[in-house]
Amino acid sequence: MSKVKRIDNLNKVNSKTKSAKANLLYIFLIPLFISVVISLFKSDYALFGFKIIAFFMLYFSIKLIDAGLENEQKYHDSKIIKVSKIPYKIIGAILLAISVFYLMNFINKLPFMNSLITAIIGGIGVILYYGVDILKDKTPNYYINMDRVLKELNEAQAKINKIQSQKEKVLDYELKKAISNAANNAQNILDNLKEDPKDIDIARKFMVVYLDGIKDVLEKYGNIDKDILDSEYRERLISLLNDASKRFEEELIKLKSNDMFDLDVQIDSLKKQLKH
Amino acid sequence: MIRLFLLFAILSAIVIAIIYLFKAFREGSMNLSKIFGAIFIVYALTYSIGATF
Repeated sequence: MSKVKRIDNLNKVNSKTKSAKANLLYIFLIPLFISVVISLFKSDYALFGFKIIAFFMLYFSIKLIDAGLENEQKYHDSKIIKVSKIPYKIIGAILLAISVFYLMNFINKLPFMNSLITAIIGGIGVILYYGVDILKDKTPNYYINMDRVLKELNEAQAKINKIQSQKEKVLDYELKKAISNAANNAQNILDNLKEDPKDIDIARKFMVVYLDGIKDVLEKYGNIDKDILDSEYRERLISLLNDASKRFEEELIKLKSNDMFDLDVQIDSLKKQLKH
Repeated sequence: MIRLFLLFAILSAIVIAIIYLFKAFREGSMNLSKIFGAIFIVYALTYSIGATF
């Protein structure tokens, strides 16, 4: 649901952060659920049906608020983000108000005005408590082509994810470890680029040539019948991954100290290795 | 019965208000919108859901 169009799955940098949830609202689903069950036990099926509808309306409104909170958290956690233009929290607040009105007026048969006022109070409460949605993109204070940067970062992340998924298919411990190290170090570079996207131009070759190369080699390895695979190929692959991993590590240090990202000069040698 | 739940809703809102005020004093900062938001949510949902019993 959360449609924050960004470095989606990449946000491993901030995965430590506790995810935002509308916990206060979830508590209220428990008594409503009990009420639904009571109606069922009383064999009042019509009321049971109406209450079930109310339960799901409330549940869905909470989910929308959750999505809004998640987007907000991603916004605060990221230096660069293109946010969803859907105001999830506002829609959730409106749906919650409708649920309250439905419960009060339709199920409890309370007077219209009484129900309306309580519903409005509920909706306003949600907005006051959870705030309104942030609909403005977060961009760095220097000029970058946001769409292009996000696209490139997303593509690079997809490649790293692919490399990680190849790792899961490998049974060889040493090779698995080599893939894991290379992927983690590549991820660190990418995380650093997300933090400081102005370096993206000089790191473009890393995202295109290196990651593509490793991804392709691993895909090919995955498709080869392991029984006919000679150990020399395996050794070469491990050595290539270790080499790439080491270079990524060195470049990350340079990137962090704002030195020139010189993967450029090293790329040709790795490219040659990857081709063999 | 419904009046009982109205009373219960008001009491719950008061309890929430006390909890948040206590928290605000302890932390030394008061987020009024959060306090009122919690009171409103608790009141509206306790009243509307409570009355279904």
